[in-house]
Amino acid sequence: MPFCRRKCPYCDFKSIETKSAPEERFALCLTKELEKITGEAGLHEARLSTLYLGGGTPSILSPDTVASILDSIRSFFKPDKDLEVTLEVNPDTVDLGKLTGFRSSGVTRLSIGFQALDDRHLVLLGRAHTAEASLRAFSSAREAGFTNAGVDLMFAIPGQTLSDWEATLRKVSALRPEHISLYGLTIEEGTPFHGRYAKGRVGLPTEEIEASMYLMAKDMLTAAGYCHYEVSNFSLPGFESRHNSSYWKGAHYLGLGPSAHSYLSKPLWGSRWWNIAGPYEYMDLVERGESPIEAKEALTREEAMLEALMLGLRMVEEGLKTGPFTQRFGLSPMEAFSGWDGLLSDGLVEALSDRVVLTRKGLLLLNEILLKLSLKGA
Amino acid sequence: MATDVQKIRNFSIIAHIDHGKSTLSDRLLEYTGTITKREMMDQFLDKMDLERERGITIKAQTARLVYKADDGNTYILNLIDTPGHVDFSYEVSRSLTACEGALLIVDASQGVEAQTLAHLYTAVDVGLDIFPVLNKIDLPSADPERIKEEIEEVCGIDASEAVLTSAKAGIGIKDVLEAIVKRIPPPKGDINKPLKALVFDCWYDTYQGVVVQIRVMDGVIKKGTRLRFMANGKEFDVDKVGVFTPGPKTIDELGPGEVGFVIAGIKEVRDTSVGDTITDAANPTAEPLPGYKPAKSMVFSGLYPVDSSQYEDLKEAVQKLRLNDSSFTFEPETSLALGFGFRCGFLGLFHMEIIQERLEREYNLSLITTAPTVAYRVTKTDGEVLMVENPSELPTPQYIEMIEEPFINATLHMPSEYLGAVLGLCEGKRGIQKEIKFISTTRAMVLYEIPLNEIVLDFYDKLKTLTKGYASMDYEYLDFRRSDLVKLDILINSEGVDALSLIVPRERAFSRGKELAEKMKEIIPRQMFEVIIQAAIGSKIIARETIKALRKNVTAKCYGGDISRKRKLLEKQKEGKKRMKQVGRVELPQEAFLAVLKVS
Repeated sequence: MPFCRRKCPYCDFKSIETKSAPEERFALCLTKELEKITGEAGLHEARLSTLYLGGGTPSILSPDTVASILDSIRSFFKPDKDLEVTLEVNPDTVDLGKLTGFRSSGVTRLSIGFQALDDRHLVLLGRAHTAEASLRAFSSAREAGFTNAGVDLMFAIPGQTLSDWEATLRKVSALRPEHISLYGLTIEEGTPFHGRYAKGRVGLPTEEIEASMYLMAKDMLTAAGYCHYEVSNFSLPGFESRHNSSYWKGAHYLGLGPSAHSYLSKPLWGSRWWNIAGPYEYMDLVERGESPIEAKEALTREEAMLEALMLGLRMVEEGLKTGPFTQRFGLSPMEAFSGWDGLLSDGLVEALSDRVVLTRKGLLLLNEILLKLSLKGA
Repeated sequence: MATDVQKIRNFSIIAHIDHGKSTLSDRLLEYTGTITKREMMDQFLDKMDLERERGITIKAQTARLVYKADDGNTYILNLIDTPGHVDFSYEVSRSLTACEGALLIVDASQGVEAQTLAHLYTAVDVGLDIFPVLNKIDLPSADPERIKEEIEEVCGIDASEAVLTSAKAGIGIKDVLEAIVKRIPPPKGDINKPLKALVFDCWYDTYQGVVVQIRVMDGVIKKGTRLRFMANGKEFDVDKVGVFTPGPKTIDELGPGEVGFVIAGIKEVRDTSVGDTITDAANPTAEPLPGYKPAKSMVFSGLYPVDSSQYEDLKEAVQKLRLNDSSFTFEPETSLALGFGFRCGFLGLFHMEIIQERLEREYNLSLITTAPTVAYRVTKTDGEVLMVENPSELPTPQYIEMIEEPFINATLHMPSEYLGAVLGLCEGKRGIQKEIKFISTTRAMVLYEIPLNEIVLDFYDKLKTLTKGYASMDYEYLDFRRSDLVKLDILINSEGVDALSLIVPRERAFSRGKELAEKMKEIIPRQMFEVIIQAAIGSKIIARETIKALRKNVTAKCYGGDISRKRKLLEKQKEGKKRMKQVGRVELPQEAFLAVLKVS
């Protein structure tokens, strides 16, 4: 949903800053794109397990628009009984009435962008809301009947200290959200933050502090009853994001709207395509009956193996499962990649009977670990 | 029929880099219709890509120009190009020996430079007639009168009739051609004497085998002649003789005074060498031409493939390069840290860079180059004398009686305002001052004796920086001198890395070790564990730096839209890793092995 009230200076998602999004037009385009793609890809009546409205600020839309989008999507597929429908929410765009409206439109799960619970940090991050607005949004969500609500937080924010972070974590876990995502601030190219911090990282917490923040969160949240199920995600038992988990497990997905990516694991080693990023360009194309697809890629066996490794290891508990990997590629991860020995002896990964998982130390160094693992014969 | 010697002029062009030699050559070719404008690539004579990129001639080239002079006669003018870098000064002297005269090109605003002088002295030594050409006369800063005075004062040649040109603007080109005809004498030579010809260049051609460039002094060479190289006695049957116009053109024979090429089924450049004399095996001349010297490597470094599976490819590549460059030497070498590679010898640092670049570019190899070094003469306590080209092979101190290192005579020219900086640099490089001279009110010259190893490291870069590029330098080998030298070792996580060892003066060992360790710390990326860099002399640690372990590197978000991008990033980083050399458990980038070049 590529519209935002205000652009955040750290975000590299291509969205349009606007007071009022052209929501009707946009919703119609989504339907039209869906109609075209389901026809072309033969996806009519396919099973629908999860639905996720994200990217930009989906909560900028009115509950009516959300209802119409959901209705039309549901009508194209065979939705599961317990269909998971997540909506990303920015605290400054909702009140109790609106949240109640979302609830009745069929949204089952919220992901609320707190980002920080300290107004100083919110100002630094260029967010349009206060900490109080976030807390209010959360309690309104509960009041509106949401029993599955998650919050997003960022750490390693300019000027943030370990004790700031500890305080934030305490406040958040006291709310008992079903799901918590924690993202270390990443300086993305092409953002205002890149200009400000890429050189020298002046003002940003050191890597040491960042590592401590991450481990502190892991320990505090685990002690509070949360499962650390993915590198950046925690949930109360049974409340993992089913939608996001499907990305990491290699399930099919269909993305609609600008910048959306789609993936089919068959035929061969899978294929992926994605739409152009410009929202107005997207709408123009779709309205003319043209394809908004920017590019497609058919994965090679090697690429598919690398993705399976890269995604599988992100699952903290479940890890990279050897069974499904071997079944798909005819080789176990141990056979497909070299470099495990050093990682095992350095205590960065652990090989269990049916999976490979990252250790506590390995969690912080996943990118380095992936660089140490090479496809044999490549 | 051989050409009438009276109608031949063999000449060379002497100039400092950037003073316009290549551009003037182009204009001469163009004016005489040797090649048309349409055929003209800029700077036609510099054939190799690398040369064009660097704007410098590496291998000498020639061209035969046909010129109808104002006196009504048609002349054959052989332009013999010379390499423009000090590393190739021997090749320069051979090229000059093939001529009777030379044009001395001097930039009409910048004046005489060290290289100009070095080549000029060589030309005077081989007895050439020289006339000055003032180029870039069209520039507002040109001051021909002042430069003429400078030429007379510094070079000791008459500049009153200097030809004024702008090669770029095409001014004065005809004047140059007329001057060549009038002021350069025709060659001497006797067609009835036994064949005597000078080899002044040779290279390997994939289709023809070795192409030998010669200047015939006496006699005639043609197809069927059985030629003999007098230095090694090897004989070959001539398949073809020809001239460069500037493309190769086969002709019947080459007689006295003529310049051209010979193809004789020669498989390796090694069978011939620049400076050698060719004669007719059936009717040999008694005496070869004087001045032959086998090429001698002065600078050595180890070349290793980053990926050890590329060793065979590297071997093939160095063998091929050697076919084309007899001054490049190599022999297999093994390093504990780097595996199998080659210890290579070069004429100088520039030559080394050219070879490395060609290996990487033309043969698609990824290489680790160890720091360049000179050959040290080591006398052991038992009286044995060895040449040490690799610092890690230096015997342990208790077996060393003395170490000698090569010294050079360096001539430096610079605008006077940089004199202080240049003196400081030379003193800092253990130089011994021999002479300081002001060659005009604004220009100075200094002569220094300096250990070659100091030049090999970073002298040129320093000189360039200190003088904003206005200083120039030339050097020649002097002798071996006893010095107080020690081996400096680098340890990474307590393991000595043989490829990083170097030989340094004892008095500088501490600072060198410290600077080197600091530099390595900057160059080596952080790893998942702590890396300790130590510098040591024998068992004594003199410097220590720590590279802290990497604590956190994990992508925060990896959802549906990120997967493809993250995978591609990972693939790209993996490619980058392939260019790193794993030493023990530590991954070292290529630059780490040349870190010593980056310290003061």
